[in-house]
Amino acid sequence: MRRSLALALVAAMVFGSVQPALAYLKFGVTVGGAQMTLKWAQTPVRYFVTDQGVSGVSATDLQAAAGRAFATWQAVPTASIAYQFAGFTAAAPGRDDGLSTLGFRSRPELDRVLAATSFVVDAATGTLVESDIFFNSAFPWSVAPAGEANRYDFESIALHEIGHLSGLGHSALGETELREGGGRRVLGAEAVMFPIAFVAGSIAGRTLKADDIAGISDLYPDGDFNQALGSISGRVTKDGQPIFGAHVVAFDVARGSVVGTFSLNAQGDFSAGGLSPGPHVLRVEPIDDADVESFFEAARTVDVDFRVGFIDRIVVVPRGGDSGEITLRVVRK
Amino acid sequence: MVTLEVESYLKGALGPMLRFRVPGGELGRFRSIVVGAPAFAVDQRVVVFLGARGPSVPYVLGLSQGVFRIVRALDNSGWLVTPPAILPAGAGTVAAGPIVRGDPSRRALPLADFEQRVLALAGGPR
Repeated sequence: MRRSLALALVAAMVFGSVQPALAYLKFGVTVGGAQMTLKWAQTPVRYFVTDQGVSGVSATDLQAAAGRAFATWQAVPTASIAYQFAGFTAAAPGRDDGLSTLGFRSRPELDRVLAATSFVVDAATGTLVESDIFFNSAFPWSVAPAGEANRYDFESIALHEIGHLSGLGHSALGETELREGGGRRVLGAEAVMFPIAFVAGSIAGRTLKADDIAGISDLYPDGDFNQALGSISGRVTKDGQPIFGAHVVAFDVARGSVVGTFSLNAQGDFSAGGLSPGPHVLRVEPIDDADVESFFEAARTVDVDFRVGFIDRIVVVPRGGDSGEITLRVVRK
Repeated sequence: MVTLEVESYLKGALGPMLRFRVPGGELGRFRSIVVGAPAFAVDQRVVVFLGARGPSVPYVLGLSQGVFRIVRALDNSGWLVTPPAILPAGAGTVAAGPIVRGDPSRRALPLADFEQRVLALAGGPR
C-alpha cells in the first residue's frame, strides 16, 4: 500500500457501539455488564488547543480552524451539543491529563492516518473524562479558505474528528474508486463521518450532511427533534435469517438527501431517526468494500455476503412517528 | 502490547513469538481508547502488517488497516480472509474504476490465496 492511497481518518470503533434505538453508529462502553452510550454528560465541552503549529499552520490558525469546525457542529439546530475553547496549552494531545486537547503530533509510524481521536473513560461509571484529537504533522496541512493544492484541509479533518469527540462513529455513506496504478480515492461522500478523507486540496469535507445532522441530533436531541421528524425501522434478513451489519440507506425522494444506518443486533434490527417526513426509498447493501473494523468492534461478525437490494415500495416517514416494521430481504452473492 | 504466536511470516522473521504495540489500554479504573486502534482477543487468528523504526517494538501499520481477521468458513471448509478492495487478484495491479458494493466477485478468500496475493505484492516468496 502506498501513501497515494486514500487515507483513513480513523479506522475502527474498538468497543461496543450498539444503541438501544439501533440507530447510527455511536461509541459505547461496557460498565458492570451493561452497555452505555459514550457521550458528554455536561456541555459545553471544554477543549484546549496546543500552542505548537506546523509548516503553514500556526497555533493561532489551528485554534481558529478548529473553532470553525466546533461551531459547525454546534450550529445544528436539532442538537444541543455545545463546545467552549478553554485556552492554549503546552501539553500534547494523547496525554491523559483530564483535559480535552487538540493539536499536532509527529506520528510518522501512522503513515495512513491523518488524525485520530482518543478517549479516557472511567470504566467504573462510564463517564467520559476527556477526549483528545491529534493531527499527524507528518502530512502537509492547510487552513486556506479555499484550500491549497497538495495539502490536507485542517477544518475538514477537524470536523470529522470532532464528530468522534462528540460520540459519533463512522458513516458508510460514501463511494470510492480504485485509481490507475493503485490507491483509492473518494468520489463522493454524503457524510462528514465517512472514514476516508477527500484528496489533499479538497474542502468538500467542511459541510455537514443530513446523515451527520441526524446522528448528532440523535445523540444530543434538542427542541422538537423527535416531534418534527420521523424514523424508519425494521429488520434485514437473508434466507429467512437475520443478519448483522447490513448497511441500510434511506433516500429522501423530495429533498435528495440520504441517511444511513445498520442492522445492529442479532435480530437484524435497524432504525434510522431524524428523517424528514415524506416518501423515502430504502436500499440495503453490504460493506464489502471497506475495513469492517472502521464501523464495528472486532468481535462482531458482520455479514457482507449478499447482493444490494431495494424495498419494492416507497416508505412514507410520518411526522413524529415511525414507519412501522419493514423487512428488507437480501440474497447471498 | 499484543503478543502473537506466529504460524508463519509472509515477509521477514521475528521469531515464534511476536510482540507489537497497539495504542490504548487500562490503568486502574481508567480506560484509554484510541479510535481506530485494533482490538485482539485470545485465540483469534489474524494476519498483521507491522512496521518498526530502529530498534523499537514493532507497531501495526495504519491501526486497524494493518489487521486482517482469519475466520472459519461457515461450512467449515477452511479459513477465510476478506481482502481489501485494493488487493489485486494476482500479480500486477487492480483495474481502475469505482468500487461497487455488493459486487458478487468480491468475496472472502481462502487464507492460502490471500497469502499468495500478498506475496505477489511483496515481491516474491517468503
